[in-house]
Amino acid sequence: MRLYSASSEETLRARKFLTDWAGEGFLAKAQYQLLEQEAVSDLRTTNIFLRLVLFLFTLISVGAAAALFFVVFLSRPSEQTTGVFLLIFAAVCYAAAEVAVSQARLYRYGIEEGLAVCSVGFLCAGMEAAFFSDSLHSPKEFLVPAAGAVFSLWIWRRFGLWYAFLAAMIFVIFLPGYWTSSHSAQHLIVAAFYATGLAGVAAVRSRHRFDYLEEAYSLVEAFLWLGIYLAINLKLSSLDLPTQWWSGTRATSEFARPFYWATWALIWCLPPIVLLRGIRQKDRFVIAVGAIIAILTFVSNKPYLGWVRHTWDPMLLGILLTGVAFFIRRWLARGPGGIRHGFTAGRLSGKDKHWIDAGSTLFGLLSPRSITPAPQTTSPDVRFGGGHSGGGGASGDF
Amino acid sequence: MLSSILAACSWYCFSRAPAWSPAETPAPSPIFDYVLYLGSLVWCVELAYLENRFHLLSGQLDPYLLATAGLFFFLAYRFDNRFVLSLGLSSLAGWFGLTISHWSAHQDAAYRQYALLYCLLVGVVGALLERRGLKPHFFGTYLNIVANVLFWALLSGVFNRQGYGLWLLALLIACGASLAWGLTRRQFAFVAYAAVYGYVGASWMFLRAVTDNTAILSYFVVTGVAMLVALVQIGRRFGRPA
Repeated sequence: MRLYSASSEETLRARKFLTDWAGEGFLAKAQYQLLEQEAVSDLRTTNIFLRLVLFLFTLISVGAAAALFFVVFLSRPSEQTTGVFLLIFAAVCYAAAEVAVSQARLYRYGIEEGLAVCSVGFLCAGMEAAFFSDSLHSPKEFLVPAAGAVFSLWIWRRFGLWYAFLAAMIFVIFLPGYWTSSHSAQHLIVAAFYATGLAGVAAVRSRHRFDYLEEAYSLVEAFLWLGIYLAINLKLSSLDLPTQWWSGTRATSEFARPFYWATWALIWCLPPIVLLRGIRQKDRFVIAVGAIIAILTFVSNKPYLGWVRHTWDPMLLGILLTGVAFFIRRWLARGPGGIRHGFTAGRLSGKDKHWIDAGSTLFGLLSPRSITPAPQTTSPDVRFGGGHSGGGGASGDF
Repeated sequence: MLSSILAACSWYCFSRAPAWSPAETPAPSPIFDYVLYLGSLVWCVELAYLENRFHLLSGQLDPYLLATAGLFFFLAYRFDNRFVLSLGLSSLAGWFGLTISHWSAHQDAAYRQYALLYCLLVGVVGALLERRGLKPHFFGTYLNIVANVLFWALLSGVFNRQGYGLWLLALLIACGASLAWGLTRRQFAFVAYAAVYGYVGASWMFLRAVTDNTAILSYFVVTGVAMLVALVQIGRRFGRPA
């Protein structure tokens, strides 16, 4: 089912490890060169920057080519005709992506990714235009997001693109809206879809514990846990979130009370379950999601209970998180050799160092926008503030 | 409260930091960088609070930004932290922007000129420090920020209704330099900058007076494919095999 052979992907994984270890100094240059010669792959890869630019220009080229086709060959086509041609474009894009991989051996190269993404977009737009353009709220219109979800899943399996799985999860969100108007049922259906996916992934990933698919399944499981949590947490998936939070209104009216309080209980139950699973599996992504949803539970608890939020709430949360981080770090460091149950607070890999350059650049570029104010007014009661971005708080209100 | 957090962070950083070295120095502990960063941000909040409560400088924010930039540069070089260096660079950029925001007329042009001056200043200082061996690994951060600010400034000139020819020429020269730098140093971020910013600027010029949809779409198809081919060739020639 997968476009790439297991040996090719294992080789690429080995090369990544080699680069990482050499960067950390675990391997001497001679050792690295020797091992590198044994890890030659037939796949063609590129670095992240060229990959992003190639992806962008693929989208531009394909989008412009499709639009040009309509402008040149079809003058005022019907919706159905447009839809049929969009479906043809979807097929062409998908075929081109397959050829790019099978013939040119592209792997995460941007071009085949752009083609695959275009094929999903064209498929959904084409189905909508070809089959449902005349009918308002057709009961079968759910087929559009369903097809998008299934096709995205296929691309995830075939090409191994993690964001295709995320796209499939997003398509699933739109499905229950076609089946029921009950918001409670919609939340439950989405959660049920994700839970089914989670059960499937959990069953499959045990066979790939130490191979090249481990990271992919780990990421997918983390996405699914996060999806389940977000579907269950009514305060996070509600549209008028900011108003509810700051006014302290409970907005329970659209949900039955038992359902509302059951979800409140569940958002407290899920974080320990996810954290426990992540720790038992030693799964970095799942642990990270466990920590994130634990924080989200703390953040959304007051709105759930209808309590008024205070300005010092984030400070207390920050102090709590800092305290927990200090405690865990010290506890791990006090273990024999700084290790407890296979976990250490020490840095094992220098992978994150590569992101420091990109992160610091991004931060440097984003900060001036927030610290450089608009031309100063002469208003006497301009309130001072900001300060969160390193500029002495030159903008915004405190 | 803010002062006590600031004092605690300062005490922690100065008491735990290793001896200063001009070369890259690893942090003494995994949380060291976070404490330093927290202290830097608390400094900003405290400054904002003091000015808001006591109006020490009567709303003249420029000295605050300049002093803050200076402090952040000192901390970045003392503790070898690139994120704090970014804070320093952005505070300096904020000082440039704030200074010219006091002027009322021709602000766009003034911002552009001062953005170029900022690029020149930061680029030259970064290069000099690298040449003198003072934290040479910081040079990448200097260069990335300078490149992006420079490209944005030049692009804003290309988008002008009049007098854009010189800006386009400058943009193309900058793109060429960025491409050459990226290829010779194997830093493909600069190749990407050259491709994207150059494409946006050139497309804006070519399509400025074109209203025909077919011509516009044909342009995007042809140039998009041409860019793909060029980038693939660059990747093949200068990239490393998998």
